Amino acid sequence: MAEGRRMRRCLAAALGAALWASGAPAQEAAAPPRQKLEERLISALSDEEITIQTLYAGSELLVFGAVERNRFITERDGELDIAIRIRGPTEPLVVWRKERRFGIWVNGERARFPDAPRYYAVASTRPLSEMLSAAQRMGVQLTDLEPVKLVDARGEPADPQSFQRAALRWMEQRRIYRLEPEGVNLRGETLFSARFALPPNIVSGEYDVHIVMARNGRYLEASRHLMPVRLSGFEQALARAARERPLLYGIGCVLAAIAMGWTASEIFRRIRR
Amino acid sequence: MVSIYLPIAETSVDLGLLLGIGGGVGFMSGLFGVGGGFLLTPLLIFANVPPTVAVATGGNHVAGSSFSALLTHWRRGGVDPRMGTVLLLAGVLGSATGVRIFRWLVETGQVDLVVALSYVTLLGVVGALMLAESARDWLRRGAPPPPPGPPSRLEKFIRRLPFKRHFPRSALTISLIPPVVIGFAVGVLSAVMGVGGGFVMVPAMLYILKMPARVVVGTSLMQITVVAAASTLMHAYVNQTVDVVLALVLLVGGVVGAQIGAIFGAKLRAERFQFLLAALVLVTAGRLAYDLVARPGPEDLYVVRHEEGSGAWRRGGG
Repeated sequence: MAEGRRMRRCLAAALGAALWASGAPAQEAAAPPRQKLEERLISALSDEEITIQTLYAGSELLVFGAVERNRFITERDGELDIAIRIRGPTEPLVVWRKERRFGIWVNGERARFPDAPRYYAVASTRPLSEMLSAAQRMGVQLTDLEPVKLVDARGEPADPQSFQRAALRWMEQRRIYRLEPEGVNLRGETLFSARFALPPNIVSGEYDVHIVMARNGRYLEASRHLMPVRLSGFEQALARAARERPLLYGIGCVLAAIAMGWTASEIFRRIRR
Repeated sequence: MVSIYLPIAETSVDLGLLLGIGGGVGFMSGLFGVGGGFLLTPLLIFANVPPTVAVATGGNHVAGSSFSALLTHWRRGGVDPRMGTVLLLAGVLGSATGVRIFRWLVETGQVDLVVALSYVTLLGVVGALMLAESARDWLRRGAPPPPPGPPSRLEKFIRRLPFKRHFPRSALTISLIPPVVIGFAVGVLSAVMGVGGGFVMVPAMLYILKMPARVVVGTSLMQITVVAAASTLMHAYVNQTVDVVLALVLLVGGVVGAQIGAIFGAKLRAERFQFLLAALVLVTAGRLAYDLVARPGPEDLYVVRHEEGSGAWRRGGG
């Protein structure tokens, strides 16, 4: 129900601020023309949830929406910015640095990033540093280094930043970390959209889609969607069996392999005859 | 390009690539009579399968492919069931030990090093021995086989060991200790390296146990099938890293490849066959040794991995 209302409001905003202004109560219409600019964010996702099926090869998520406001904007209002951050479930990440011992390269110093997400992407209308101050970005949890926060100082290496860079590079190669400083398309200061490529190696869990609106370097509003990613029936049954009935699952794996080997042997014996 | 999602590896891999890997490894195993696990595990890691899943699933694949080959040898009478039973009982114990060693190695972060070092050592030694053997056969071409020389120190030692049993199919009376030691060692290898261990087992049976060649491959397949099955079961139970979808896709490619390999194998001459296998084993060992010794580039200086035992099955997400 609430979703339907949001969509309708989204459409209303898309029709333009003028329409909104004309529909406003008479009281407000009588207000002085230089009233304070108020803006609200309305957003939606192309998929409310994603199901990973057997032949899943990645997918695309469209995050879109509109900005509704109480009057026309002028140049003095400054620039409108939108940033969208998607954060997948977390899973601890461990980074080792190789070092030479007795002529061979072994894993030496190590850093652990307990809250590393399995997917992290930020798209914005311009680089985050130009959009909001560092303090404001922290306040709305909009950072580009957040995936591998350094929290546990005990037993960490002397130069944790290089380990952090290595972790981010690795995540980038796997397409689970992505920054798109010009990835949000904003039209007429009203309609916005951004496309996110979800790679084939995403995992199941809750994905947190966080949309932040700022104008002229000032934070205005944020909205949030929780998008579940689920395994389809067959994949889920297997993953659950492996987790909850490991012995039975293991026996099943062995029997399946043996049955396959036996079938192959029989087929080829008949072909040869 | 059709991709298939592997629920335990938690990634999607190109189906053609997996069938190709399975087929290629199957071809090698059909051609040379080895399991091919030592090629499979590195190839899976190359295809972006997490190493822990690659090792455990490699074992599952080996169980299926070895069983297929075992049936063929069994029908020909090329299996010594008594020797096979001794080897596989020791092997299952070895595999249980190996799975726990593997878990410990993963926790200390040295699993890559130990797996790579084991591969280099074993493949290097076995490859060199096979190469020397095939070179000797090559030089002696046409000449009658030389009379057996005086027994070596190892042979004398084995003959003095207690617990002697008779193995009728192998026409052999030997102490139980050497086969138990060999079986146990191969069981550990199977669990730690995701291999069947045929490339260690076959030479050990020929040169240490002195079993006749006609029962060596079949008997080693009997041990490999059971040990690989036991390793799969224990990896599934202890580490939860067996991906049955991956194993079955690999098997489809593998069984077809193995049959084609067997047809080619029948046309190859024995010494050339041994030379080719030795060359393949040495090239693999050389490649792994190079990676251990060469200075890694700035990009490869860091090893990044999701912490073990924290996958979806631990997260509790379904």
